Amino acid sequence: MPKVSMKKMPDAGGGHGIIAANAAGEESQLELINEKVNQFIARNGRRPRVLVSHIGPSGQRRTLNQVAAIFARRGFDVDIGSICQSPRQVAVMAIENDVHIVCLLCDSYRRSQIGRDFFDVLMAHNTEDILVAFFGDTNTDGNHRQALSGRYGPVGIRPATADADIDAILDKLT
Amino acid sequence: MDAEFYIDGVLKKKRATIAKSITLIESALPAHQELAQNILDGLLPYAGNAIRIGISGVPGVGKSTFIESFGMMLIEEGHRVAVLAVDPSSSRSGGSIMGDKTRMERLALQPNAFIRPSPTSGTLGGVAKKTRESMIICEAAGHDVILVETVGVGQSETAVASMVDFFLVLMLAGAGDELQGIKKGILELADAIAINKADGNNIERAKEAQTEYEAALNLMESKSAVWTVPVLTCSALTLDGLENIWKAILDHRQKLTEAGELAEKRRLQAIDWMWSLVENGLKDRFFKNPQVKAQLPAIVAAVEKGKTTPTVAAHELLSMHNQ
Repeated sequence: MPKVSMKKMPDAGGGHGIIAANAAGEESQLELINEKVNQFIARNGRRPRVLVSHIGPSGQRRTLNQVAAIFARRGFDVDIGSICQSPRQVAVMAIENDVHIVCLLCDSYRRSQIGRDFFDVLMAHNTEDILVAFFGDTNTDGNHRQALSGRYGPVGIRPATADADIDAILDKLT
Repeated sequence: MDAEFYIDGVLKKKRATIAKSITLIESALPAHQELAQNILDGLLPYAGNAIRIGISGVPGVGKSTFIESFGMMLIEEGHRVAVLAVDPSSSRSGGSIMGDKTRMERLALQPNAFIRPSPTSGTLGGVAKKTRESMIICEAAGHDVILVETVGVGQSETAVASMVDFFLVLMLAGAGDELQGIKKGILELADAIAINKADGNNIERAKEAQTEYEAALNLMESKSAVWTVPVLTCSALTLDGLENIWKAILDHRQKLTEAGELAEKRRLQAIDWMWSLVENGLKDRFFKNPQVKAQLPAIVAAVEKGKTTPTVAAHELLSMHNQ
């Protein structure tokens, strides 16, 4: 039974700090993303839908809300998961909500660990076409964009390059 | 993938197929809608046996927490529960943020539960159309209790009340001005009122509110010959009173079934559903009319600038559509 209920829903572009500063985005890039989102809707009959969730023992709901705001501001339908979830919990929610993308917040150790549990559940339901993105500095060598090369698999999103990263994700969904 | 694939998957209770079928229902693409209709046609014979419960209340009343606790209680009693959240918040850019499931953490993990929040923005046909049809999918997948969650503001509560067997309105005690604050309309829709958060220091105030609501309901004409709207208290936190609400729902079902009112209610709802589909279809056709599409921005701008009156503009648009 939750002792504290989370009532405050994030508003697009709301909040403070470095992530929120990027939530608003550059106008020209936003227009580009907006155009791609509209093309996506025309092809798929709905907005791109993303589940933002956190895996691991400790995390901040505030960050989760801010990442959700980044996506919502760019025209995505966003499901907010919880903090401190297990890979299985996140996978089940992704399947039920039929999202296109799962954006995960977790530390680098968990990133290397979640794979099997998470993808096993997706594969068991034939939903392995769900794109997985990690929020944060996914590759410390700075080459995180290399991870964008495959059709499926991990994609990085960083606060400083949120527009370019989301743009790349939309290209992968297309 | 053809309709058979989805029908088979839903009947076999495959979670991913249920989810994808609901997506097809929500899709704005004509090809998806056609497929969705075929799926629904195939599933209709397996639907209709669930208890459909609408749950409404102002933001902050504890709807999601209530559904978590109430749903868990039903699961433990052996039911299969589906939750459809109707009116999540939307943001300015057209994207929606849906966070209801966050507060249903235990229920979300149950194999016998299915929870689906739906975005309201950017979809044709309105909330009610999607939810009614999604309900059929869930029923065919063997869910015998369907909980439809709606925010108690705007039009969605009327829409939800018109598709469920039992409409439960959650209220708060001790928030002050209870009776002035609530809309008469929502009381008319209610099949039961439950004062939530009746726990700790709030129990006394909840009981006072219960008396006040009972008095207010006495002044209203009953919509059923066999059912008097009860005012109950409950706490989604301590679980007190949840069993009583379930008993009231079962009692309501039994009494209305015996009196033939439930069958009548569903008949009227079917007609209501048809009209809402006609309305949506007309709207859809109107906005797809090429002439309307071409002229609409200019006419809207003219009304905005006061160059033409709304009446003249509306007449002009409708006559374009008639041509």
